[in-house]
Amino acid sequence: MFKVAPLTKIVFTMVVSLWAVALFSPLALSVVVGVQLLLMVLGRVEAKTYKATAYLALFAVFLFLLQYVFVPDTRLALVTGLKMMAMAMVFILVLATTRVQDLTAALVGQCRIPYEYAFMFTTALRFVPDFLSESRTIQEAQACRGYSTKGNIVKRMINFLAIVKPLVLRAISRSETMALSMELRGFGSQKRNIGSQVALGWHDYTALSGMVTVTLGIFLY
Amino acid sequence: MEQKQDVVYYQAKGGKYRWVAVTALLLAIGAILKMVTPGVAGVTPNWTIAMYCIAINLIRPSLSQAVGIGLVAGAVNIPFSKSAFPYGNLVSELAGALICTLIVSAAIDIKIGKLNIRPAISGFLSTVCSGLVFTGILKIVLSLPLQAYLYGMLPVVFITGAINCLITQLLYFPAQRLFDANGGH
Amino acid sequence: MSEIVISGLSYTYPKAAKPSLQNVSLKIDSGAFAALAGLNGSGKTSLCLAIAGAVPHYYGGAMAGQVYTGEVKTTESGICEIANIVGLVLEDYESQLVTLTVEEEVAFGLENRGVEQSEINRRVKEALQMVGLSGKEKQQTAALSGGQKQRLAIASVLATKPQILVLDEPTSALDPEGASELYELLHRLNQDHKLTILVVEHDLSLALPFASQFILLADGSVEKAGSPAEVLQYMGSKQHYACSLPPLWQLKLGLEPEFSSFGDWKTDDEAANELIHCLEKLEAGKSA
Repeated sequence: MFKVAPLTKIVFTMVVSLWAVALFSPLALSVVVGVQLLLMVLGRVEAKTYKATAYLALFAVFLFLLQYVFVPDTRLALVTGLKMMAMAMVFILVLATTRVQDLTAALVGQCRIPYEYAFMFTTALRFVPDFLSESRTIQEAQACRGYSTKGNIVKRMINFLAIVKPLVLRAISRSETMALSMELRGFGSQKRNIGSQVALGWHDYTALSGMVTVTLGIFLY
Repeated sequence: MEQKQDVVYYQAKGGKYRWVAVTALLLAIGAILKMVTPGVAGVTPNWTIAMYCIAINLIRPSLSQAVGIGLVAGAVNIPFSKSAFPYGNLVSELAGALICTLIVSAAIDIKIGKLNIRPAISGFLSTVCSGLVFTGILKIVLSLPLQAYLYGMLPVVFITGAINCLITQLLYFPAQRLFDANGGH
Repeated sequence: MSEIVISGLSYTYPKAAKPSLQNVSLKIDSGAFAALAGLNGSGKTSLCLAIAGAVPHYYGGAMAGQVYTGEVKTTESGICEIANIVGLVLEDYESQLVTLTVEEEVAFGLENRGVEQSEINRRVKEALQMVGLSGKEKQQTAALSGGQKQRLAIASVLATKPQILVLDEPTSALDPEGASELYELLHRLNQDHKLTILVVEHDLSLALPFASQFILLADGSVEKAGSPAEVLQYMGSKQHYACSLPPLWQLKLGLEPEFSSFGDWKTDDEAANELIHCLEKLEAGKSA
């Protein structure tokens, strides 16, 4: 299963979402969730993947309760919770077993998504840890200057903006350096080679036909 | 070495991809703020939308660029958030980015007196539009009851819209001054 | 052959009131290790940008005079072509790093240029080895330390095999240890890989042991350029550069009126040896 190409996994997320939308039986939805859990175990994902899944489960319980409060129908509430679980879990599963770059490479090379947007996406991800530590630094600095997160909502928000503003401004000035460096490094040239990407093999065709079969089965049934 | 040289004026050819850089960095900020924002009475701004609204106000993209920006905005949070419905996010941010771009490129002045409130309006409408699309999809797909939608979700959508309206307006102008100070080392 | 030749370069940014560079003429020889100094706002960054072609191509503005890098006249070449000759590492090098992992970063410029995959792999390996980041290919960029990120930025511009490496204030965000490690690296690149190096540096004592040429900019013009000794001698004679003078040379220029003149010290050891020698002579003279 985990030898399949990134493209197949992208298709998988769509197909699972489709199944989740189409299915209304708690049993069938449980199977979808169960199979994904099994794939996580087989794929030997890290502990944090299970933690993220547990968070999702918690949210599914919340949805269940929300639904139940308004419409006291256990079956319907269960379906709601499981649908959400099935749809969101597939992303956790795929991201835990695939590098983001391989997914974007597949999107650019095989789905013809323009490279600028794949670049925008991975670059945003690249800067998340940097900005996270930067925001902590600013937060500490502002705390020293007496900004607090107390008071009424508006006040708290405005205080929080004192942390956001320097982050945004730094990002703006960084964008200039980045844009220059991108041009120096030939970004946007038509010559760009698409990079290595995994062509579909028999694993993929097996997996894809499996997905098609299940989908047809669901809709014909 | 003293020699008179003719001065040549060059057109700036750089910055072709600054829109990519700015959007990427602002979306990264949106993603981290989503993680670190203290929840205020259960209502938090939607930082991702606020950030792409600022980006779109700065760079004034074409509609096709807006489609890309919206999809990337929807995708950026997938690896971090515990989103209930990632494909819903892709669609809703796409709608939000398109609305924002339409407002930004609208030829009419959006002002109160001398104050340009285009950022605020675009921030509010994009957030509300994106919120309506997302909750609408969620309602249909998860077959949520109408009451839960009307009394649980819609108020949140509009409150978030109001907060984002304020944030976009407050952050846009300092950002814009810096953005336009091109090459002013 | 001179690697960088600048003649009569004047430049004004599009919206600026006054020029950033005024009639700058300079030669930096092939294989030189040049350090560029000057107070804030003296045009150091603009000069770096001009050598890399970002001025005038990226920023626009009014420019007079010429910049040649190797055989190429920057005004007549594209910014990306110049990058094949000049590698530019900006002061905010972290913003130059745009990919998730180390190897992708080095490969980025090559992929954009349509270089073949096998060649990319080879060059990535080579560039990482040059900066001492071998073995970190798969590591996340964000997980690197500040100094390592800088090395990565250097590796990513070296991947296109430039003959010239320009660094704008590379040590401003480094601790003293990191700064001297960086200079060791630049020295190695200069000696082993025959790269011509131009580095903007506030703290000339860092560059002193390695540099073959100092350039002092003031208000957008070259105030003094030449061998490190010549330039330091000149700076010593000017009151407002007193603080910019390396401590070693403050000592040397302070002592010289009292004693004989010393050699052109580059390192603490050189100075210590000469001073010990000098003291021994004094002692010998006394006891005689």
